Amino acid sequence: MNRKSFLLQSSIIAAGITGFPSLLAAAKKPDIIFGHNQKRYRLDTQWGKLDFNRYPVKDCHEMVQDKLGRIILLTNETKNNIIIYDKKGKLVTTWGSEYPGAHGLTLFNENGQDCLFIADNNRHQVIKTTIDGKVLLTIDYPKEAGIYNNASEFVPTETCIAPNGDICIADGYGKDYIIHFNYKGEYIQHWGGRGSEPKHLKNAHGICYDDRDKNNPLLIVTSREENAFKRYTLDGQYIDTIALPGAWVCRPVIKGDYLYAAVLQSQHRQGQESGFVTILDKDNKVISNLAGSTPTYQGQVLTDMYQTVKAFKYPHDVCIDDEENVYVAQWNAGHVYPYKLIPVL
Amino acid sequence: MVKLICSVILLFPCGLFAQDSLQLTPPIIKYHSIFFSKKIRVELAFAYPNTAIHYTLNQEAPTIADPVYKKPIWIRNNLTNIKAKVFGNGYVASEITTATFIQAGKKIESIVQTPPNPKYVGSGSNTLIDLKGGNTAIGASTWLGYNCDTVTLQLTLAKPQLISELLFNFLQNENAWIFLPEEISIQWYNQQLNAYQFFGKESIESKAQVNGANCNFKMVNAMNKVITNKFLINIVVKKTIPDWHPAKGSHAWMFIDEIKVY
Repeated sequence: MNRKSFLLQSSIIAAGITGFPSLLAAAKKPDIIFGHNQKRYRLDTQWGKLDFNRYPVKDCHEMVQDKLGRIILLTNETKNNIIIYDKKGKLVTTWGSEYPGAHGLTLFNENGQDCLFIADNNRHQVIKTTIDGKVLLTIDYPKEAGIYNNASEFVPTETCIAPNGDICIADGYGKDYIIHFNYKGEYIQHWGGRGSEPKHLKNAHGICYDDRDKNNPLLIVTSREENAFKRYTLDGQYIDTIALPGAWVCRPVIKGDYLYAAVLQSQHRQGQESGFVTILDKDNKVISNLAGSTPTYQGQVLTDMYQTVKAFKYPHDVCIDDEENVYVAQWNAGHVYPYKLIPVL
Repeated sequence: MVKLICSVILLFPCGLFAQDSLQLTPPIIKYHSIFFSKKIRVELAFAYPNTAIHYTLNQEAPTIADPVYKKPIWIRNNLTNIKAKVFGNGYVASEITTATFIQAGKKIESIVQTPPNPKYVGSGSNTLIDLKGGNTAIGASTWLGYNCDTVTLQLTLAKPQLISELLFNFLQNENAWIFLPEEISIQWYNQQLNAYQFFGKESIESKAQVNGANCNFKMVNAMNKVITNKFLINIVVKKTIPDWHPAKGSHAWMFIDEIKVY
């Protein structure tokens, strides 16, 4: 075992020991309100709980909502990589056993049909499927890009799909490039990558298509170790950085005017289950942290953010449904199922 | 009727009833370094409504009766220890967070040490005498990281002086394979004899597993106070990670960020 893999495994063991009591304790007392300003929520830790013997989860990595309103969870548990719930948390169906490194889940409505893009760390591939799991396309590392010696260097964490079907893959656990393919999975270009300039990325863990300004759509990419999002034009020209000091942000998720993100952990309490959820307004200012510190700006500069209540361990993704409920999937959190946060008016 | 409803609400405030099962996280102790020359400004932070940070400077665990943090604290005394804890808003009070602030001692002219692992080279050759440190992040540029068996240091003071003790500040983050060393042994240079002689030794026993990351200083006292300007120091790195650890049997790491001489 090398030290890097050990770090992950020891955290899993620790989480396994401590995870369940807090979950049970919280279960009896669901009226917990988190957040700031107009984004406040009641926490429901029991929403997605299933019979673990029948429908186990390992890391709950990402979630999306399909056009039928169902909530789709991706886990790296190969007994059921995909778990589909209704909004009340009732199990609808499961599928998938061939995604051991299931990490990124993106939904795209293609000519009226929902399809999924799964970024698999272990397989070093991105797989496009129908909503019920039929494989439509498999994307391997782009040899022609000239940036990889072999497939193992390509470790995709996320995808985002442009309205024309173009696919951007974030190589967040590989070389931190954003790789742009057409809808057929043919390589077009790449950008980002590691380095010391503002345009570079450190742990490009997530990416999303931001069309809140309809006249000026752009891409937002996570630079997690920098505690930041970075904005780029659709052809990969760096625009600016949204600094989120203290917050190991996962992928950006746009819903309405707001940007939501799971924060895996707080910078000053790394490895100590110190995650929370952050919400930014249309101007990309943090307006609310769920189980996190009150957002404070000194002039234009955001002060350090951090977990304040031990409600989450390592949030890894959020999904916002059509009723503005927020679902939180967690990595390395003692096999907990997703939590639901219901808006408080 | 309205009065009755109000009474019921007051008796069973749902937020309070619900939140007492969740715990607040510890406050943040903010500083540039735990090492200082004359005085150092320390801030405590916890931005969350209806909570308060209580703290002590006397090594005791903070209680609700201890002072509430309101403004930065100035520390002037060597080895001042701050303990801080957050209370309030119906949640379980946080665990205690703590930091000890260490004053510069005798002026150290130079230090030569075993080259650290290339991954953890600190900020260069003066990393251990630059008054910068106390950051528990592994990636901080204040740490020298070693995974060899023994680390040797040669330390030279500006001039011969009466010396009674040496302080070493280590990182302890056992989840990340970083353990305290097993032993620190020091020899002092006797100019009259032109030879190094025994100064003092500190053996560090492994206790139970320590969770999280913390700074941990060790003091090595002189058997007899000496007048000298040179020391030869051997730090024995833990060679075998204990059996309770998932990486049992592997070679441990030792991280050090500062040495002080008093």
